[in-house]
Amino acid sequence: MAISKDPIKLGLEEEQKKVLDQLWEQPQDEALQANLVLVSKRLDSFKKSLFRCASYFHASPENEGYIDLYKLVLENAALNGQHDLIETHWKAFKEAFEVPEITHEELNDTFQKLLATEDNHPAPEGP
Amino acid sequence: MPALTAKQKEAIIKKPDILNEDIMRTKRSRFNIRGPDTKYFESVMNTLCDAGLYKVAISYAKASITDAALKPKNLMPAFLKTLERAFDDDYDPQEIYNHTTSLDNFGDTIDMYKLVKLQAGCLIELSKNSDAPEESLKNCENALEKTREFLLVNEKNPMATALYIWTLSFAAEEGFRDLVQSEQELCKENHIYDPRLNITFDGFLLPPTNKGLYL
Repeated sequence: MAISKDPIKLGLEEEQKKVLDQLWEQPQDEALQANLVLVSKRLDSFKKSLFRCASYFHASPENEGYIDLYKLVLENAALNGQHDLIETHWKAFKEAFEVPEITHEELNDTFQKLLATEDNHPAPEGP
Repeated sequence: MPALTAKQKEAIIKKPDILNEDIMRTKRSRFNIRGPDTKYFESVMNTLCDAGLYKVAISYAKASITDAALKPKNLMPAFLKTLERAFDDDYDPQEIYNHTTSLDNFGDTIDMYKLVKLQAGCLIELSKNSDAPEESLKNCENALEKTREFLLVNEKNPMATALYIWTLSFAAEEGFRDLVQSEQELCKENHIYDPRLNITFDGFLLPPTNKGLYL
């Protein structure tokens, strides 16, 4: 099923955990197994797209095309309800590239905007 | 995990609009107006596909391909790959098929087997999904025409034969008896023979020829 055509009710990481818990109780359930494959595939795909963007940005930080691409992918993830994934990615990005913060102003603003929600999603510290 | 916030819920409810917004966004995006080299083009296309943004990817590809400063043939393999991924991810087969036709003349840079397979796949999906029997039949006919023509110019290629068998099997399963029979006649005229095709025609109890079954 196409990610873009099927709005997701939960964050994919949470959805994956939920399915895994259900499978723990009913390991032979084929529908649950299929769900796990689907959710994991979509989760991996989202993660891959975010990390591709991070890699391109890290390699060419002045390339405006890659910055717009990164922003688009981030906003698409947010529109799909994947705020938790963005937050995980934000942390993983800094760890992977050994940087304390993302110093690019435009990109940082996008992260701040997407992570700063009303409750439980405090905005990350700025540069 | 915390419950969704009002903004997140609102974002999900607004979801049906995202594709149109994405298109508008693509037109304004700097990744679209920057003159890409092939590597850059591929990196953008792969990322958009991973994100499930197929409409944006196709729109970006079309804009890049029509850019006079670029060599379209260098971009076509990545464009075909994107269309294949979109098909695998249940994207609209009619739209994918329409875009594949722009690849028909790039046989020197793309794998034509992959293109014909994708086109036949789209047409078969359209045939399956059609409510009108005539439309379903027409799409199946078109799928057979594509794969047969490909087989005729690639007679020694077992993949081409397998692709034709796959399409013919679909026609047989759907009960398009007249279509299957007319394909048999066309195969006879063109001296296409493959014993693996017998199964399809046996299902319709067609008489074999005295020289074996020409299909």
